[in-house]
Amino acid sequence: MPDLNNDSELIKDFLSGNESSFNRIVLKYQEKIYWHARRMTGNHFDADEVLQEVLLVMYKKLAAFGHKSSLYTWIYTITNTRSINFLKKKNIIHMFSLDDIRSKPDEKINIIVDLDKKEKLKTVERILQKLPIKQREIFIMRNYNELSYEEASEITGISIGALKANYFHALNKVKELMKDYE
Amino acid sequence: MNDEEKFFRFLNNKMSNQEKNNFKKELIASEKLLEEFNSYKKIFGYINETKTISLHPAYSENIIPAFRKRLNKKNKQRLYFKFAYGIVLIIVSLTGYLLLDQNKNNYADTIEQIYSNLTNQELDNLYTDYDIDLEKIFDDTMLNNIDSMYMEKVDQNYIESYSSSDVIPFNNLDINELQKYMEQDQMELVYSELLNKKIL
Repeated sequence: MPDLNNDSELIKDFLSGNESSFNRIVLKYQEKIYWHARRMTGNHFDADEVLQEVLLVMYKKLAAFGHKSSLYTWIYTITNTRSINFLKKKNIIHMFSLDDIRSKPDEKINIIVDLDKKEKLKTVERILQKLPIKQREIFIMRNYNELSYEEASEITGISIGALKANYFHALNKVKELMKDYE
Repeated sequence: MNDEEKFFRFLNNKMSNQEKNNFKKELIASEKLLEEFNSYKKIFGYINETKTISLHPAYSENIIPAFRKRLNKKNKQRLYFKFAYGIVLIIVSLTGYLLLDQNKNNYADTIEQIYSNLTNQELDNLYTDYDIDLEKIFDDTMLNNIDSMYMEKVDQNYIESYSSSDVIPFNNLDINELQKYMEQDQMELVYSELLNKKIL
């Protein structure tokens, strides 16, 4: 019986054919994946789509996970990449579409139960969506995931200097935008 | 360490006690720094409150079932795709085979038709007038086929007469212009031979 807290054991068990071990890995990280996707995409519907894509990638590629980083870093990198690709694809579709592309109306169930947090979340999402993707990315990594510039550089492949510049611009823009919500 | 990094470390509780005390003194000493810090603190407040939000169980409990459903659908699609690919491959191979087979027969028919429409003289002219080196174009089998067809189609009397050294076939040459192409004594020889032959 694999140790439920040990990622390596869960991976090994899944690769031996035990599907339930994969489910345990998903349960452990699904909320982190969802929230990073949500902050990047700005709405529940797109975040759910990205989450499902990430789970499919994990399922197919877990055998190739080389343990060079922690499992969470690996999953986070996939989530970040998929979110950015999703946004770029959405922008292209929006550019060529004659219809006004809007995010689909929110879910029938309330994903967030706490109403006070729900309002603050909407404010943050509106502000984040006004940032260019690269600025949004580093802003989320620094403030939500508390990553150092070195860690962010490893995940994104962007130089530390460029990340710092992006963060500086993001922070200034957020400060300006926050004034509208005082 | 720049100001933003100090704010970040202070608000995320990453500073030592000594660092915290020093930072507080800096804030007291600089009004501008304090203003910037307050601005950053406001943003940080929003972030902090939206950092850990639990998902509704009705959604979170459905993530894995939704994933499994999608995975099964993808596996089925892959199977259908492979099946369709196999069918298309068979159809393309059969079509290609039938077309090639058809063309081979058509080619043979075309050669037959060409030969049957030619006169004996034209058949003979194919070799001499156009100076075609058939050995470069056709393989041995084709050359044998052409020879056989030639023998079948050309009038037997014509072949006998051609093979005889007595008969010289002229290819659209005006006999009166022989002098342009031959020496005088050669011309005399031709005239004397012609007088003995049926042609004149």
